Amino acid sequence: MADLSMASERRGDVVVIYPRGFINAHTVRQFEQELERAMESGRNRIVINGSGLSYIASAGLGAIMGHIEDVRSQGGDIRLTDLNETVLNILNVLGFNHICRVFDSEQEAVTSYSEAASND
Amino acid sequence: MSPDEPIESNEDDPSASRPNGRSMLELRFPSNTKYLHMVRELARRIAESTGFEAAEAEKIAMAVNEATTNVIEHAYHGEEGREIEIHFQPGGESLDIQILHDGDALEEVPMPGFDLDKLVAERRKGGMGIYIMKQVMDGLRFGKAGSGKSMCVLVRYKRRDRKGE
Repeated sequence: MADLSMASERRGDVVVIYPRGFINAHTVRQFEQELERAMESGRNRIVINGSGLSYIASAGLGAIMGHIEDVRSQGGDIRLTDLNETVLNILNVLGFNHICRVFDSEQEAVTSYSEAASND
Repeated sequence: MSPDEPIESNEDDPSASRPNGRSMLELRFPSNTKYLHMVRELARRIAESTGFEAAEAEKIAMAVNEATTNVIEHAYHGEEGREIEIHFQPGGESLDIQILHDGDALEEVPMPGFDLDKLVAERRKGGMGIYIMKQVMDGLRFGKAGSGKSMCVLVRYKRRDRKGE
């Protein structure tokens, strides 16, 4: 199995990114490129579905941190869903769930964008 | 062993790098991020096999990953093929881990109030590794080994209420 493989799918105006494997300093560039691809195509409403993610190191969270202000300034966001215990652990250690909204399911994460829009 | 206790290693006397006569597991590998996953998994397994529960072993693995990444990126500035040495010293009360290298010496950056919001506002991609190490380990220290190599020492107690004893 590759260290990290990436896939993404559109759900309306939301792009869902599926990292499979682990994100550390070795694989982070692949992850970052997927985020950048979504942003460059004008899709700033991003959900990262972590169901295939075994762990993420600070390098991976750094990639999110480096881009989240840019997508927010375009009316978008980066939201997380389906995270395992190991990934949730590092988010808790850093207080990262204060920076990024975390959902239990992809459906909730995707629909959270339309709820926000209807409240505007 | 106290997190602040100096650790000496002496190439002429290998036992000198084994405080309290502890057995030691040594790992040497070239500086390359492709080895980070292997190092992380090894650290996790060693922690589990020395009596840490799975969740605790994960945290130790997390810290070792961050410390090793710092050596590759900041001590060796991404240069591949330099040597990194990790000594795992399991003891009855704790697991001590030394990460040695001969690149630029790393220092503990003072963190008066880690501010993640500020890092995000500045679009910073780094600056979290040492904070993670400090949060999940009981001891973190940077210094020189008797061999002249720079090292980062991580200590984790099995009972966290014994921290600092």
